[in-house]
Amino acid sequence: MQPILRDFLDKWVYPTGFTGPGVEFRLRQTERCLPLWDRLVTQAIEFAEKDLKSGSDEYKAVRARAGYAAEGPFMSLKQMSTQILSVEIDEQPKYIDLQRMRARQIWDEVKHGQLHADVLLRGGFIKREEELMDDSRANTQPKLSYFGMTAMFPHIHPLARAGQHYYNESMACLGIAATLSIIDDDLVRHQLHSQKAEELMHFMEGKYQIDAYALTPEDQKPIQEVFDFLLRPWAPQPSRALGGSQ
Amino acid sequence: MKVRIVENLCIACGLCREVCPERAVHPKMQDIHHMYEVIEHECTGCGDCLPYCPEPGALKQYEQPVFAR
Repeated sequence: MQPILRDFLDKWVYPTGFTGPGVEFRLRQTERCLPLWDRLVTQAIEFAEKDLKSGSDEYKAVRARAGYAAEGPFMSLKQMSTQILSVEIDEQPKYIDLQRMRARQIWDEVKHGQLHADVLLRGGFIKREEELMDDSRANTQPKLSYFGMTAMFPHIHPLARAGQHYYNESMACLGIAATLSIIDDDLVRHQLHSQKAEELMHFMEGKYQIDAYALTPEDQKPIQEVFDFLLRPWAPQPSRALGGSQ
Repeated sequence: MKVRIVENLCIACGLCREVCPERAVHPKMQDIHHMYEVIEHECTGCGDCLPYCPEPGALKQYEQPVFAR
């Protein structure tokens, strides 16, 4: 197992604030995630090493454009709006803590898009952010069903997002840690360091949701289904900016 | 003239970044709080950002010292 993953598990995954069926369910799902998390760290390290060996600064722009595409429209418009809407008015008193965390995430994702643009501006790859609007590389990505139902699936039930938070945001944390361990460039580190704490918060949100709310088989079912979905080989990975392949 | 951000008043909304005609406002380097900074040599001091700032006093126009010009 990659030392970066071992460190993440010891610091953030295994320590629990309380015990119960939610924690036991989460730890069972964690076992399923481990091989993919480990592979992601390996891949992020390989990508970072390859970028460094390229001998060009272009990799910074490639990462930033992919990150801009992934964390602008993809996260802010689609995922964040649907996860807010997954809690209906009648359920809001029950899930108000989740709603507040999700509202905070909209803010975060907007800022993350700005960070990628800032890498391109400070690096001299563009003069103005508006240039990105004419650049398909900053606005598209090879995710299946970019605006389709599979992407909406982790948001249909109020607790479904917990699976996505737990599995995907952990990959963002791991990809960031892996990339930071290799790339010593101020601009790349600027973008990664600035959003590192937030990705961890989103992972911890997933952890909290599962531990606190997934107490019965009925509550666990929508989360289990999202893990079943995300653990398929074709499920989306984090963007190139966060150590993923897209 | 130049403009700077008074950090203890700024709420990091980013409006100044969006309206700056020179794109002189940037996220601060490696700052987890997502505060902003005005890059002095990019700022022309036009003050277009000032009326958009929702937090009184968070953007401050100042005269650049002669020796720094």
